Amino acid sequence: MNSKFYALSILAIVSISLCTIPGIPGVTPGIGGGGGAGLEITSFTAEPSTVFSGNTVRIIMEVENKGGTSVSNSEDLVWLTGSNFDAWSTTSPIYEHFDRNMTAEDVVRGIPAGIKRFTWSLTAPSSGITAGQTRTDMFIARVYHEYETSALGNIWIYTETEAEAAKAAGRQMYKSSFTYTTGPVGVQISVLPDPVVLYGTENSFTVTIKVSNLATGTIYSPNAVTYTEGSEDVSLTTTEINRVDVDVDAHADLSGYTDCEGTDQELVAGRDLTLICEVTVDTTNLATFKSYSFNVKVSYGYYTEKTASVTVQGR
Amino acid sequence: MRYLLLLAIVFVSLCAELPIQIPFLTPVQESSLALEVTTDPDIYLKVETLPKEVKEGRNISIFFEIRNEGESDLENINLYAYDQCIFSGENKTTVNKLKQNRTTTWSWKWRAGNIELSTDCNIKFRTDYESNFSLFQDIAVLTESEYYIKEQEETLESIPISSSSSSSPLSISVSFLEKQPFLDGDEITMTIGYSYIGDGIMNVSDITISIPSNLEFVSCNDYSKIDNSLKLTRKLNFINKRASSSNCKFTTKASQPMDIKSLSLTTSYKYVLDNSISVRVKK
Repeated sequence: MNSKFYALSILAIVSISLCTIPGIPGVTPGIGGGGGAGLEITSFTAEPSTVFSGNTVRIIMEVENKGGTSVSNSEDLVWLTGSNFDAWSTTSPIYEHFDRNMTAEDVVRGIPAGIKRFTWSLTAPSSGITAGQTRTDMFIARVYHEYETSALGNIWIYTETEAEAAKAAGRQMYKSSFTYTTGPVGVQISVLPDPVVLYGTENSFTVTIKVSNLATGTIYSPNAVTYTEGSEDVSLTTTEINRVDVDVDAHADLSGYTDCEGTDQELVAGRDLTLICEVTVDTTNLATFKSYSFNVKVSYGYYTEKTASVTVQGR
Repeated sequence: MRYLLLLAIVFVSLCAELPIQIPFLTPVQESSLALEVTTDPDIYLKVETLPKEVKEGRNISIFFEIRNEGESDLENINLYAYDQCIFSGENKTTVNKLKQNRTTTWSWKWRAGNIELSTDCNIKFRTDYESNFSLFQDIAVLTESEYYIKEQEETLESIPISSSSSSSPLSISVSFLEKQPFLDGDEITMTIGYSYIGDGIMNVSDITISIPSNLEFVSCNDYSKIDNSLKLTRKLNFINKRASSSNCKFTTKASQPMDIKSLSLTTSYKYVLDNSISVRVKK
């Protein structure tokens, strides 16, 4: 009885320990990149939450890069607006630019995730609200930025002879492997067959790229928003919403993967986009077996939004 | 035991509230007669005569108390007795301004004329005042893409759209045939309703509506457009305390993805209240 108990305990400990493999935040080896986060608004508050008309409210927002890609400060933008915003003694709306690049966390090199705090002091409307009246105004903060999720990896391709030799010798053949960055969009690549063995005159294999919209915010076509200071424009059209660009950068001997690429691919929230392509290998330089680089970059714009309410009392 | 029961009954009867309440007519003192007007949300009016009975040729004092219980200042408050019965004396008083929560009092001393027989004399008096208030109604206009995103997220309903109402006797309602938030480029119809409460007569002298920048004026019956405002052009005739409503048409215009602006409405009105109080004049 005791020996069974000990055996079961050890099995349980081993099972649990298998579930907690430490990884590098931001870069996920072996599985589809995701996490659903880019530049995220971690805190957005208006203080005090109740004011008399004509008094000042302090709005504080904190933004953190929770994804795996650094964001250039020329490609991110904060937009502050709200209900009845014109009456809050301010120009409407407010655009703010980041004063530095928002780095992704890199544990290996000890680089922390970029964090930025914004504060605004706005004066509650003093007209249009009389004594005894109250109105609730909402502030809306959005962070727009360009983001990308990448898959970097290798595809191993064997000649028929080499594959047979490896089997005969009992050697394990190398399989394709990819590392993924995390972001609001996830990418997963699968190669069929894996490893690729080119029998006879064969010179192609299949790559499937699954792109997932994991975002809590909204995805839009890359560069659909204008980030230039003084001419910011956050207007989007319906055909720019939920769109991504997919690019493949592969070894020079690989070709025919255009079906796995495309601009303005529709990627509805919570859904997947699957791209399948037949990749052709130029076997001129393939004597035995070889690793070919195959990198996928999914580019998109992304914004998240937070709201805070303030009740204004007339006096 | 019997005494204890009796004692309990006495205690219980002491705790019971007196069931008799005479609306508007509250005897304040044995020797005086008082009238309290509480139907108007703007004011509390109390008129008291001392004594409640007077012999011909002798004087009575009439005390007035007006308290501003509304949310706005009251202006040009007039009180005058337009039927003094057989009394003579000062019969008109004006107060220029009465701020919120303030009270004003004054009194008249009247002399009763000679009579043949003892009579109940019904003194009629009128109170009128001017006031104004403002209302707001948020207008949320979304661009096509913003509407699409919020529709997909099912968060259209979560956009807070504020509005206010007034606690004055005059009630002006602003409503839309279409549901908010509006879509950029929609034509929308706004209905303005008018009604009042209380036993007085309502005269609306002015209504001005400021059009927010996310609405473009199309048409409006009863109103004329001056710059970015609409001004009431007809006299509101109240029948059964209601006046026919006005309809205005606008097209929506979003200058940013989510454009929430406030439409404001200001109005001035004059409210007239007639009341009377009865004084016994004895031979």
